[in-house]
Amino acid sequence: MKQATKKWLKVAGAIGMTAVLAIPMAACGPMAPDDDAPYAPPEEWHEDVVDNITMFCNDWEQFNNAASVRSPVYKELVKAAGTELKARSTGLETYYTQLDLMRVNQQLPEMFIIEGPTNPELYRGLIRDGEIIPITYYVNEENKDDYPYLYEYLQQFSYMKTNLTYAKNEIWFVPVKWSNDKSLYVRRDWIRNLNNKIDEILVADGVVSSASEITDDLRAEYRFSEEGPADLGEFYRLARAFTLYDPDGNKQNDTYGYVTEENRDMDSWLHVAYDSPWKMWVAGEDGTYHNTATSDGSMLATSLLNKMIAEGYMSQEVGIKTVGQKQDDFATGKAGMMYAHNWYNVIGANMMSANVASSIPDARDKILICDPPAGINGKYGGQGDVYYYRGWCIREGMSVERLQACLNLMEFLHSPEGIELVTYGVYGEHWEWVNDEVGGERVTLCEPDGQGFVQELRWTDYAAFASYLTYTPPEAKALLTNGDILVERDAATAETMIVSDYPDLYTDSMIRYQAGAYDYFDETVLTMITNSSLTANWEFDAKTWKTDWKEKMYSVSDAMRTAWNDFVSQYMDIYYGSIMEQEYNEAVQSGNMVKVGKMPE
Amino acid sequence: MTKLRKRVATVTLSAAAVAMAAGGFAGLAPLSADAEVTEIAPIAKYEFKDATNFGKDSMGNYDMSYGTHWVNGGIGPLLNNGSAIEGGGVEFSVEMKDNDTAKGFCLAQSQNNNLFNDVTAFTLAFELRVDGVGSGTWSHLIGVGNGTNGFAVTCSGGDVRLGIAGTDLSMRDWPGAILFNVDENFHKVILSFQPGGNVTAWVDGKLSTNEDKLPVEIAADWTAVDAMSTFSIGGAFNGNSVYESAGAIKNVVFYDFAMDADCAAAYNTNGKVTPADVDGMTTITGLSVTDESFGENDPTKVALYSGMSSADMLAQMNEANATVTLSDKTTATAPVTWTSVTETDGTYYANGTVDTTKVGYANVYGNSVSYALEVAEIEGISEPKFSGEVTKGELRDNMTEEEMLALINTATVTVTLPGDTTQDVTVTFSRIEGNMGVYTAYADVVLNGATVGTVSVVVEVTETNEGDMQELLPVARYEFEDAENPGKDSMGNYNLGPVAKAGGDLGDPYGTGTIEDGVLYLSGNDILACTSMNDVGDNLGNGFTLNFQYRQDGELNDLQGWNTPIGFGYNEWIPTKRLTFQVANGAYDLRVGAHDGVADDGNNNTFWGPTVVADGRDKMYNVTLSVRPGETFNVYVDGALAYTHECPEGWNVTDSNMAFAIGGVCIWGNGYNRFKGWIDNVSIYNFAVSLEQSNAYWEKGKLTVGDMDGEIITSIASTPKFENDEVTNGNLTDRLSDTQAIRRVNPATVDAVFENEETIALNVTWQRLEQDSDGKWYIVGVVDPSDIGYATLLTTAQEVRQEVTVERVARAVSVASGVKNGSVTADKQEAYLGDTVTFTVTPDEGYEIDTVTVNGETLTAGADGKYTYTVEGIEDIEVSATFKAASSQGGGEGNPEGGCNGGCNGSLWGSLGAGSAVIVAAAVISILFIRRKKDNKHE
Repeated sequence: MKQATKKWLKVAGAIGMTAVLAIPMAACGPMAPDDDAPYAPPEEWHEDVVDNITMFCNDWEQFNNAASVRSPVYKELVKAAGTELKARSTGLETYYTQLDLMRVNQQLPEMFIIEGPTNPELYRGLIRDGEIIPITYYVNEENKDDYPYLYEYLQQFSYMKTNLTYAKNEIWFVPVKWSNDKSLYVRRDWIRNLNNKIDEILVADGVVSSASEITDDLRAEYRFSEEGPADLGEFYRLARAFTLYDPDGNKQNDTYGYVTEENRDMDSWLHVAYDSPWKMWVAGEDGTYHNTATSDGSMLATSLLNKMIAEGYMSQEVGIKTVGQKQDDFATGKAGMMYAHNWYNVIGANMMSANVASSIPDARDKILICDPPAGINGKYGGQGDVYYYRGWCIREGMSVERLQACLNLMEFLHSPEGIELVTYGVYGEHWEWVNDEVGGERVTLCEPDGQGFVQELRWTDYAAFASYLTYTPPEAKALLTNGDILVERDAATAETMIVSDYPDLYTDSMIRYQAGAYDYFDETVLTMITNSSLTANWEFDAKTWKTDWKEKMYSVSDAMRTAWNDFVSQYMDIYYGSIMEQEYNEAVQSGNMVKVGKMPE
Repeated sequence: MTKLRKRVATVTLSAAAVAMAAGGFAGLAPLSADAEVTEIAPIAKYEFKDATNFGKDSMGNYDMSYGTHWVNGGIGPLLNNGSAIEGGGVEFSVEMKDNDTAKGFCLAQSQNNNLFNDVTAFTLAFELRVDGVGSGTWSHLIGVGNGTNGFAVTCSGGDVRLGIAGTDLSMRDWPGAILFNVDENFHKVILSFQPGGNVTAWVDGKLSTNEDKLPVEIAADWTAVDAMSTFSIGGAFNGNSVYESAGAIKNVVFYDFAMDADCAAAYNTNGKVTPADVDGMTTITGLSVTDESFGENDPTKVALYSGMSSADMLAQMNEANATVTLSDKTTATAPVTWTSVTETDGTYYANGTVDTTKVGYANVYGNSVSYALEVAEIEGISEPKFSGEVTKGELRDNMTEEEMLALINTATVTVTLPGDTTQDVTVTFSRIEGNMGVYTAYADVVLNGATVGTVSVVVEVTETNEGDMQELLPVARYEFEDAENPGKDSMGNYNLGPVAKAGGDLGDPYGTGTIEDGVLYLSGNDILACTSMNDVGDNLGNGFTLNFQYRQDGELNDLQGWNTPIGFGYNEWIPTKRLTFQVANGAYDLRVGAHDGVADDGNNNTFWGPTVVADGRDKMYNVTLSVRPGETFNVYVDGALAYTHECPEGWNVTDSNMAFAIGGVCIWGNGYNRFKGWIDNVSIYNFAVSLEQSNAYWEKGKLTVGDMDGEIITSIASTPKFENDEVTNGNLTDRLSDTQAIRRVNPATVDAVFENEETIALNVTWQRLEQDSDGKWYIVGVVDPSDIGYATLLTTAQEVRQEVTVERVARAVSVASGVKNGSVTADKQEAYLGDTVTFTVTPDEGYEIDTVTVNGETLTAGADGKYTYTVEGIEDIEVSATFKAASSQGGGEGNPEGGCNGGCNGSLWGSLGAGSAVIVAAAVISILFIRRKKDNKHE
């Protein structure tokens, strides 16, 4: 696994923690007395020479390695910016501490990355204190011909001008567009193994009393699909079989069906299947928005996880297991399914390292990566909420020339040439046309790693870490090993991403209380998942499962219902859920907010 | 240079000496008997359990071998016609058609190892079945027959008889004494010989008194030693065998005493003799060694001193005869064999065994004796004093040890003896040891013929650095001589720097250690590492050697889980690539961990790799790691192989997440697993070494040409050999980048030649496609001697060239869009490499040409006002031009349409350069809008 993999895992975890810490800290400070004041740009000034611009981001120190050797991609970026580029880096754990120090010392770098509106206190503070420029003040309708690509790109996020009450009708950062990139991984070879002994399973499950009663039709009816579980019922049945029927054929009871991890939103797909996206505001039939943290769908998802743990079909270390351990469980043949990022090559490499697969084709054959299963209403997919991951701010107060260099760089990176550069690299160095047919099919010139995988461009040319600055489409992975799978999955997961109607809408009470309330939700759900006294009391019956899963898997125990009601009551009262809901709906009903819906590709 | 004395031998000897001094033989208490004797062992025992070796003595003393049949005037066939009896025993027969085809059986002792030379009284017991008379009128079954001395059990007619020389039971003159008659049964026979007493026989437990011929007296000087014959079974043996017999025999046993009736009865029943069985007999009940045991000699040949080795002390022991105490209160003597000298509680003991076999009595005491030695304490030995210079001439590192020693003068040391008396001793230096280039000569201090100590002197040895002594330079060497720059690489290649605590933030790094006396001390909060862009670990793909010395500073419990003195890091928390040395928290053993099963715990856990140093706290340990992918992964510690494993082909430590580090591991640019202790003499070579080469390095602190024993590359050929003899795998054109071109060239190798004339194929690294002045195209590559996995003195990369066929491909010629206020035309639509393209540039009225560029390169007009460009590179040709208002128009700023084709004021243009014309144009426009908008805001 390459560095980026590991580090982004850490990034994901730390973001959550930062958000948690940021809220109470920020609550102690001044509450934006000048939120409504119009933007007042500082006096212009000039400098003769712009030697370089510095970009501050976590975990991308390798970019400077590219600068030191003036790699092909780096040279192109410098050409675009008109000046040298430097990366400043730190670990995510210390990123915001470093950023705070820079703010205090008034030494912010020219560009730096933040979460943007999803960390409203920081974003609001940077705007309020005049530390960053409003991007749309400089890239707007009037000069869109100068920044056509950046302008067009920002248009996708124009809702931020109005949905953020403190934004002064501007966008203050360049979001790095993102869409859901997670899929369900399934051990396809295990499915085949189960199907090879379907007679034995049918007898064991009581579908027939003896093998002599089994017909081809019966076998066909009960075979497990090699395309993976299409619905929750199949998911449960497969997880159960992966646990009970020795899918790896080693004559030992050492497998289980589904492995999850401490990062709870990795089970968000289950909430989606239960028609209740993870921690999101969703309108009811009457148009009133409610937060899904308290929905019945969340309760059903919680109950199913509880049931599967109680029955041993799922890892018990939920809440403890790291993402690396989760992947290892899958790659080493302990677990048959997991929901994870579209890191097909990472998983394949891990399987090869663990001697579970002998080669890349063998790993390809053994791993199925697919959409997560749907609920009874056909809903399935991954979580999104907003269409960006983070974004880049540009420091206020720079010379005209320095600001220009920053905008030039961003414009280039959002142009087709820039995207192509960070995606494929430099023609003749990193890729070429197949058979020299210009405009035909591309083929990589990057060397595969020791295991035979052609990895992402940044591991050949570190300047391609500049992809952190911009959005790269799914086809960016086309030239990698297993590129067909990677592109297909990225496209498919983006297609099924669930997004808020009003992304980035944070009312005052939400800024204060939302993170705390979500923490309460996380802790409570985790406790419920592992509480055996709450386990649903329905039983699996193979003969009737095809129809009655829709009833059983949508019921909970009385104890669970009582516990959930208590939780909802606490959430709404003690954790200000009611106030947040009231404010949210008031904001929506004000008519000042832009309803976003599905974002164009 | 010759190899100096192997240090490992010295170390081993010292370790043994320490073990002895610590009481390794303390269990042998002085002047005490053996442990309780529960059985009195025979001195010979023939059980006939091994059909391939019927003559084997189970006691290991008197093995017998087959004899040959006697024939007149020559040697007959080997008499090995015996077959095993289940449970033990041998059955033998005689097939005698004539003398030349005898197939009898005869096992005989050697005159050189004749049992009867070692005994006086004895007992012989056996079980015998006789199948007839054998080969002649009578036959020999067991005994010493057909001579002037001895005894024999023979068969004549239907009788089995015992004959004894020197008695009425003459062996030559029948009749002897009948023991039993020939039948189908085994008969248990016990014959007891007591010189000066009787020969007594028991058959099947009964005293044999045949016609009152037994028991029979034998003289005090009676012996079975015969000049002609030895003890034999199956036939009489006097050099050849005669009188072969037929029958079977089992359990032939000799005791070194004569049994009485009770003892014989007990043996007959139990098949063994215990102390209780000899209660009624005279027995050996004690052994002692006193000063008198040494006769007129002192116990030792010279005075003993505490500095002497045990072996030296043992060598000084004089012969002694122990006093043997008998149960009848009389005494005898028996010789002592000294076997060791041990020390217990400050007293030295000579330990030996006493041979009591000739005493003639059963030994119920045992054979061990000890004697307390007088050992004087040496009060001191001075440093060696030289009358003049230490050496007679310059010592050079290309000399043999003997040559060096010959140049070192003798010296005098003063030995202070007990009572503060002193004695000057002249010492001669007899060996030299090297340790990282420091050479020490050693001399034994010999007093009264025995070594009582060792002295040493450090000698200067000049480095010659020529011939076999020419140094093979490492790729990195950390000597820790510069306190201001602890990570300095003396080779100047891979300087080590500080390491971030987290997040790659070098604003808050760990410390870099402190240097004291040329040794790096790591506090447990220090790490030094390569930068990720210049990591030595990334350039060792074909094999390498890492040498280092380390010592752990006490407990490491206050540090994190693992502590790594040195290593190349690992790539993930669950590593798939790794090479580190590490100590677990609270432990002292140094482990090595490496991926792909090269060094792990057997279950892919590389943290718990094999231990290579048991306890690293007591001294600096010298550790050498030698890796040759496709062959072996070896760790040598202090001159000995500590760990070895197969190393897969292609195994390496190249990974962008890992960096070589000292004092911890460096991954993702951050430090982990910090170590507390000392590090010194770190060197990394780009080739693997053997144990001998590791020792040579340890000795000299460097490796030399001579150390490689001919395994050093002296030349690399320039003619490539291509995979499958195919040069390319795709079409080469003159529009390919070097990267594209080399992807289309197949892998190739060139031969490298070793000093020992062996050859090896080295991979070529293709670098570029180039056209020579003669117009021919070549694919050009190199073999870089800095990473070929073998030692070499070559320092320059060997260029490898292969002529290739390259297709000419046209470049499109086009005019850039957006050219305003003028026009540009080209004389051709496409052009080939080397072609000249001519551009005609025409300004509109009121304008003049400002710049003309092709692919960013500014052109200058020729005398004819036209612009030409000679095609180079691989890109299409795009010409662009800018025009400015003609000076006659008044020279306004910017053009009337608001655009800016050149000449706009402001430093921005100048700062961006001509190569970014399009982007700059956009930028300037943007600035204008920025200004405008800001102005609006101010309004």
